[in-house]
Amino acid sequence: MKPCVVGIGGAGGNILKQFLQSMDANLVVHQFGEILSFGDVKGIWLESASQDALGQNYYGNLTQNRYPAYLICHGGVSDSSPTRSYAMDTYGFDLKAQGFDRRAEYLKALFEVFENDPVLKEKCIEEFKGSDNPLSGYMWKVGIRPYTTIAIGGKSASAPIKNEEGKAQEAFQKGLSSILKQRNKNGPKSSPYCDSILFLASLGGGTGTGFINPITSFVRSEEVIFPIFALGIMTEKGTDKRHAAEGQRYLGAVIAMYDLLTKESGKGIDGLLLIDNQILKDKFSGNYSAMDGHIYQALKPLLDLRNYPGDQLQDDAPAIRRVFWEVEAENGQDRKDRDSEIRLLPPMFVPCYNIQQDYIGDINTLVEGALGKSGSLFPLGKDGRLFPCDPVKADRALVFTRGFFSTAEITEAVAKRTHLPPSKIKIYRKLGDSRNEDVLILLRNPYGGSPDEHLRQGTLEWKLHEIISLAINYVDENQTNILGFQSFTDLTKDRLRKYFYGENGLLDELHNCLDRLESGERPVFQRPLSIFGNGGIGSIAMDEGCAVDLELVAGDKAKMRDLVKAELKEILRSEDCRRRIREIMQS
Amino acid sequence: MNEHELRILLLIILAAILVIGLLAHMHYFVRITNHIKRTSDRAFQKEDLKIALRIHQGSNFNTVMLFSWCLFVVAIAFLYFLTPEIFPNWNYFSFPKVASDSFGLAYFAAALIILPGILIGIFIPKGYKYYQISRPLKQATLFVPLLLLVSISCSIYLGTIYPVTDKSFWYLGYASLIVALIIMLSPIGKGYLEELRA
Repeated sequence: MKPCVVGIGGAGGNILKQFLQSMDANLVVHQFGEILSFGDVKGIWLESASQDALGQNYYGNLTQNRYPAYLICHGGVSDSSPTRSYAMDTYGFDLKAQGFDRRAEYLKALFEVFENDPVLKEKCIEEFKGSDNPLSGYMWKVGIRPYTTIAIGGKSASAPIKNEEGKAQEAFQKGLSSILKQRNKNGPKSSPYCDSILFLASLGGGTGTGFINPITSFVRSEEVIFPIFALGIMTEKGTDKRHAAEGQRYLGAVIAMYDLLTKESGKGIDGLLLIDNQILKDKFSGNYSAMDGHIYQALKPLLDLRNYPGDQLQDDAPAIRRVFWEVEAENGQDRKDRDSEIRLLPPMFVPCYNIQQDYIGDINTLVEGALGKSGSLFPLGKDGRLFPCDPVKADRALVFTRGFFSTAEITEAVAKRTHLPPSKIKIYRKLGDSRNEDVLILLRNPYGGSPDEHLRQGTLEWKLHEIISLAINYVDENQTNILGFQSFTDLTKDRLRKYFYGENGLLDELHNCLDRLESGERPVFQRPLSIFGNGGIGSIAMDEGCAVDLELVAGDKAKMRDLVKAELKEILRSEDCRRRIREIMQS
Repeated sequence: MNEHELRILLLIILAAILVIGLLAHMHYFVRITNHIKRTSDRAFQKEDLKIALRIHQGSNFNTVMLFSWCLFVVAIAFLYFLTPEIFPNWNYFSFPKVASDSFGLAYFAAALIILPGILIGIFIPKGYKYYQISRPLKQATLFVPLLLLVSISCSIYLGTIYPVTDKSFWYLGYASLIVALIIMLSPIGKGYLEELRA
């Protein structure tokens, strides 16, 4: 697997630095040659706050052909853009906002109006040459797409973009390395393109939280099966340095998780990896660089390209994507039956990581270090679980090891701790570096199945229950802060009120989530929620006096289907209908 | 032990380090093969193993190592074969036409690089691609060309003042040569030692 790592927002950018650090020798005063990242990954930092991007010197501006690069999300929108003016006048949204300080609903609403307002869509298509979203379209086409295999053969296949000096250096190095390079026709060749996307963002309600979902939606409009994974970092408890309370940040996290985890297969991400920063903060005494380093270290077994001989294709991104989604027929987990229709919702993964010197222990100690000892869920941070969970609840485990282990012994060690049958343990063995051996275990959906687990400290239910409860408290107590925000127009305020406080709104749905967690039902997040989508599309269009075909989001379709069914049943049951059918039959 | 014998002994030490490096590299493969055979679910060819172990070391590192090994050939030849002190019958001064030319030393160096240097330069750096080399170690290899240039400079000085000799310059040249060789072989040595511990 060779992902294009996309760091979004401040935290995403900081963690991305770890992934892009060069493994090659270089001078301290000047960097020569191409950046050789671990696993040959490529990366880009997406940021909406220009001042943050300009106030650092690690990333260069992508528009100036630099690498590693940052891209300002709204860089494609001019100050005098008619689309920007329309969005501002109609909804009070600024397309060129410098950061989205802990307001996940702002970005959510901003992207929804582009999906649902035909006038805005038309203006946008006219101004941005066929693109119906000036932010996500720009980020995808300019920032991410050129680094992926999708760009091969396309116009933008020249990634990574280089300046003249870079091109000359590359030509010189290619000449030299062609002498050194082994011409092995049977061996895999290194490609400059990435086979998947891995988003890195904090789930604190800012740029990172808000952008994953809209970018993914945009990508999915072009590429239905291109593997897209997201790594979300749950912020720690308390009030942060910018005086944002935990409730506000957890509300952002809940909104983001809701959107990410209720999009069906082919419409959103392929899996959400969750990391709890509280665990890392306790482990590394608040040293954020060390915490970022640990996240990078934990993902190394996934990115390592040194597979066992003959297993080169085991962890290519499409294969990982399939294994992420695959549902065991016998339990139907992660599946929601709606009459005859089956909806596959993206799974959550809890990464568990452990590293040990190879002469210290065996595979059992390694796995135990990652998953924790049996029955020991709390306090957190004593083992390698990066998000609270009970490993025995997982419905599948993906095990990435580096070291010399047989498949049988890895399976046995993981099965012993997770109680999973061998068929649900997927092993990916890498060769490692002879000095250390490490393991990354991705536990899929390690929750649900039994009631009252939210009361047991250290479980995923407990953590989600806590987060959702704090988010509910925040929504309950901060109506003015949420709805009275700056420039929102009355239309936007009305929609937000319905979204947060209306019947079947977010607040109601969060209470339903708590009920599901308490009863052990899965999945927790089921019904997609929309600010401008659910029942609101028509009125926006009506306001503008446009008659257009409206695009329905998944939730609306389901609602409409239920309505039609109920109506049909009613008609068929009526005496009048029965009489007419009888008449037709007789005739 | 006289001076001449000591210098021959020092040359043998250099050769021994090279041989030890080669043996460590070969044994590293044997041990890795055994580990994988023990844990692998399937049979595999040696070529498969080589492909699996291969890792990109970076264009800068590859360039530096290629350059360093070519310089190493030049440095060792200059130290031992420039003046007739150590090998009276095999030295640069045995070719008076070249030795008296203004660019004689350059011709000598070029001949060394073109003949054995390219062969060594092509084959030896390839060995590095099977080891996980840490970035600090890669950074250390940046000093190797400097060390080898110091050694070559010392040899050139000795060749210029010949028949006068200066022991300190010879030993300085030798010291920088052996330090450079140790740094060049350290990725292999370190990988092998770690593998031995496994």
